[in-house]
Amino acid sequence: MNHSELLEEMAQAVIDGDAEQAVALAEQALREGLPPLRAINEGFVKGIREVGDCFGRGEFFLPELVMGAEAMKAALEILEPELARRQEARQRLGLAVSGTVQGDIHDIGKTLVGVMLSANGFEVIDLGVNVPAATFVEQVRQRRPDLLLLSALITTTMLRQGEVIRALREAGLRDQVKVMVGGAPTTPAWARDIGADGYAENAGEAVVVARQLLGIIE
Amino acid sequence: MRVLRHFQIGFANTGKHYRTGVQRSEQAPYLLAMADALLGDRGRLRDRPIFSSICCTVSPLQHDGPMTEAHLDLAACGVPILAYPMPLAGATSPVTLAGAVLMNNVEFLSALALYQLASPGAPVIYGAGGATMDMRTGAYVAGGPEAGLIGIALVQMAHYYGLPVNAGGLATDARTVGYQSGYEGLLNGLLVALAGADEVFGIGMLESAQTLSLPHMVLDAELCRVIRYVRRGMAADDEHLMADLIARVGYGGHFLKEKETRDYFRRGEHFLPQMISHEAYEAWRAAGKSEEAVAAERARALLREHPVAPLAPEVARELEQIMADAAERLT
Repeated sequence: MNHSELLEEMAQAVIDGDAEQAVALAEQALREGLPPLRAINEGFVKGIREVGDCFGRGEFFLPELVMGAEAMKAALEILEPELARRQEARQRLGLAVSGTVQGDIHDIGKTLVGVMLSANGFEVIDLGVNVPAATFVEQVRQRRPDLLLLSALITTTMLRQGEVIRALREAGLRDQVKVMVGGAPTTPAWARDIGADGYAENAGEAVVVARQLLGIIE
Repeated sequence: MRVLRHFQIGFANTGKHYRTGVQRSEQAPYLLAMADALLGDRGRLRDRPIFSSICCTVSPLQHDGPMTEAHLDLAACGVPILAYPMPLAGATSPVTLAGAVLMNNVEFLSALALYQLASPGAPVIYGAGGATMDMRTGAYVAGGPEAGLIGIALVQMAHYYGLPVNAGGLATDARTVGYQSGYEGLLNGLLVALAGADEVFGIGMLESAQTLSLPHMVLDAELCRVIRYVRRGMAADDEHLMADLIARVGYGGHFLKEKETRDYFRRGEHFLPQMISHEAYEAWRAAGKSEEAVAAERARALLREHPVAPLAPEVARELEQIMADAAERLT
């Protein structure tokens, strides 16, 4: 298989949501001397873009989107050590730290947002659920993300989104990060009330808002 | 504090059973104290549970720690608990409807076991909340036909265990009153009611059970009436076949002047809608009001006219005192 065929197969593996195949192709790339950055940008990323486009057109559904992202992630795990060895880095649109606020253990919403952002070129660090405000503040201090994503599914836990923003302000870190909030009970008005920078109704819209907040133009 | 304030306001405005949802143990003693104050010397909460509380499991296969602790406290005092799993097929449970039913059932049994181990004999209501997620957006779908099918199976499971069941049925994903809200509410409400649900959840709830609308509640009251009418079914014995009457009236003519017509109609043989219109287009057009506007008017009238027996002044004062204590001690 020549390199251009290999790259095409990589894209296809992501479109098919076939993580095993994606890993096998990533390993093959390393064996055959295909530069990892090329494998990512001209292979796997092409696949995930196609997945995202199909999702946007309503031809793909969430399971296909998530499986595509998982395949992409599995391939990256193989290629990243080689990237590091070469002191190369993947181009990324921004770094996002995400989590569900304290008192709330609902996982799926913020996970979908993470998948969509990853598929669109962001790096996402997922802190999981029931995350205290102090942890969010500490992560912002240490990792200096471009975006902080706060999820809540319950009317009583959404209040914690405001607490995190207050804690960031008190820690003097508020200006260093754009804060986005989301989750079923939240609204654009709520986001404004608590001083968040952005709100999205669903995972697809979250990508649009994230790009706007960071001033990224296609 | 919001849970406590709702409770206080609720009992100041209704003589009916009240259902709440508590988030953490610290809130429980105040609710129990308010219930005792309301009951006064009319018996203990255990014998006369004037309120119950809903506690959701978190799919897949988790209990919310603080919320469950709070409900264990309430159950210990005889408060009926509605344990409500809400698996979303394909997202937090298997994609198949049967898989969601199984997930809902085992999560409920796990909750039931907790309450029974902590307080043997504690009254527990089976929650049938399985539904789906919109595979285009990730949104919770309360009003899809899947929820009705899942609900039917869960009602059967609850009754297999000999337990009363609350099934999601009237909740709709519509943002406002209209075609979608009516069709979703009636579809699932009727399905779970015909399966035998003891309670149907979602009266007045729009936006996937996130928004309570009073006009929608008035319209849902009509759905409840029609569902009850259909569930009662149709008697078809000799008395109701009315063969004698058919013979008596004979060829031509009509039945309007017959005593049976008046009597059986009065007894509810036909459904008498209160909120929907059978009038001609021109008359309806001349009235010039949308269904929602008519329902809103009715809701306002009910709020204005419905008599509420006030709480005894000493009970109201006691509730106020409990609220003041809570405000001081709860954060």
